[in-house]
Amino acid sequence: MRKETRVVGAASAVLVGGVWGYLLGHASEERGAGTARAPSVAPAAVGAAEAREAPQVERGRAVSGNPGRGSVAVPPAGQRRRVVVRRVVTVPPAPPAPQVRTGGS
Amino acid sequence: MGSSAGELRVRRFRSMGTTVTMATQGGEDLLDDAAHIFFRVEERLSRFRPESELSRLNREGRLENPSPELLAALAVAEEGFKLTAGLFDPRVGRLLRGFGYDRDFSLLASAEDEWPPPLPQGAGLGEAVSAGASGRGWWRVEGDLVVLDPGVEIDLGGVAKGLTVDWAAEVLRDEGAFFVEAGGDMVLGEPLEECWRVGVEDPLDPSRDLLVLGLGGGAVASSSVTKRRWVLAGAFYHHLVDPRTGQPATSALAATALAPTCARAEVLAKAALLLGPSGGPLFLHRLGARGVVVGKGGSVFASPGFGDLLLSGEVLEVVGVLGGGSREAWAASAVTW
Repeated sequence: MRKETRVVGAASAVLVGGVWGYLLGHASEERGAGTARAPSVAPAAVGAAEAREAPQVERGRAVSGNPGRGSVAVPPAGQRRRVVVRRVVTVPPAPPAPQVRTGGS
Repeated sequence: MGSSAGELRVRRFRSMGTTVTMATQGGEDLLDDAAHIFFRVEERLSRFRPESELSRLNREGRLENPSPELLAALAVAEEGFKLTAGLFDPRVGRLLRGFGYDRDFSLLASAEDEWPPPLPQGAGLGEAVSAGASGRGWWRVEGDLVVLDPGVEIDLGGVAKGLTVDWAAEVLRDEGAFFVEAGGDMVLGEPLEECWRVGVEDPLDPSRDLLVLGLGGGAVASSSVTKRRWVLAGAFYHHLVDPRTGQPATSALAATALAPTCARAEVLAKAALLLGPSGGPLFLHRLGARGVVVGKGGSVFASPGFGDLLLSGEVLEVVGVLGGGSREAWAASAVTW
């Protein structure tokens, strides 16, 4: 299996006061071990996928909200936020077909 | 009725308004036992059967000698409510009935031909949600009775199906590789090969898989606003109501959650869908689960590390949220359990 992983906007992370802060500055790309399956998603295609969700997506800067382990925060309905995407993982399709499917009912 | 696929004996049947598929390396008798669980739970917990325990409980506000299945489902539903700070709320049944979802979905006028639908107008849960958000339970056991709080009506649909999948899986668990799947909610046992290949349906084109996952076991459940849609008085509805607004959810197209049990996965998938791409993936991550939320544009937003499960497809792993004073807002509204 060929797996392409893009690390977006940050190469490392630091833990500061319980909040993950992602360092800015550069993007790097990792490619997992693979054999026959070539990556099928070019950077342009990745960008297009991201743009469809704009303005919710923003890559690689600022910090996440983190109320801490054991708690969950529920924001009001309809509040739009941008998200920080750390990795875009892409694997091109290949047989065999799935054995079972999920998708809501 | 039964057939074999490779080394697995497979059975498919209809129950709970959907197709159930079970596969095992064991015998037909195991499949009989597991299937019987579905029929028994449906008989007792369907809100579309007037004489089911749930219908009688909703109608009369109390029920004598409730079955273990009903008590278990109520307990799991309440646990889901607390776990998600009210995002999963089985009391939306009253709203669904008001929106016209008062019979088996196959009997409703479908709205499969138009998307996105305009939002219907109507009141939310109002006081009922406020009371529930306080963390107070809405049902209790008094001797031989189970009693609902006044005005409360329960829909156990999703959680009952998830629980039933969990129970059926326990029947098959000791006989090698198996899975139990009901309408896309599933428990995967020991895999037949290296891993189970699980397709995640594209909500915008159900004929194709958006992702294919390689899973070694566990439970998977999905929620989608593109399923079970209908028309009432010119407005479009679907079955996923946001308890915060009392309206059908508009935050995302679909969500899939992976968890140790199917009932838990079902609860988490619903909550993740309501939270949308900006909240759902991190919500799952904070609860120790994994999953994805499909945004309205079709992009797949995933919890951190989810990409490691991919056999095909593309996910954007979300690690943070920006804007709207998010850190403060989230911290201020945090609910601890």
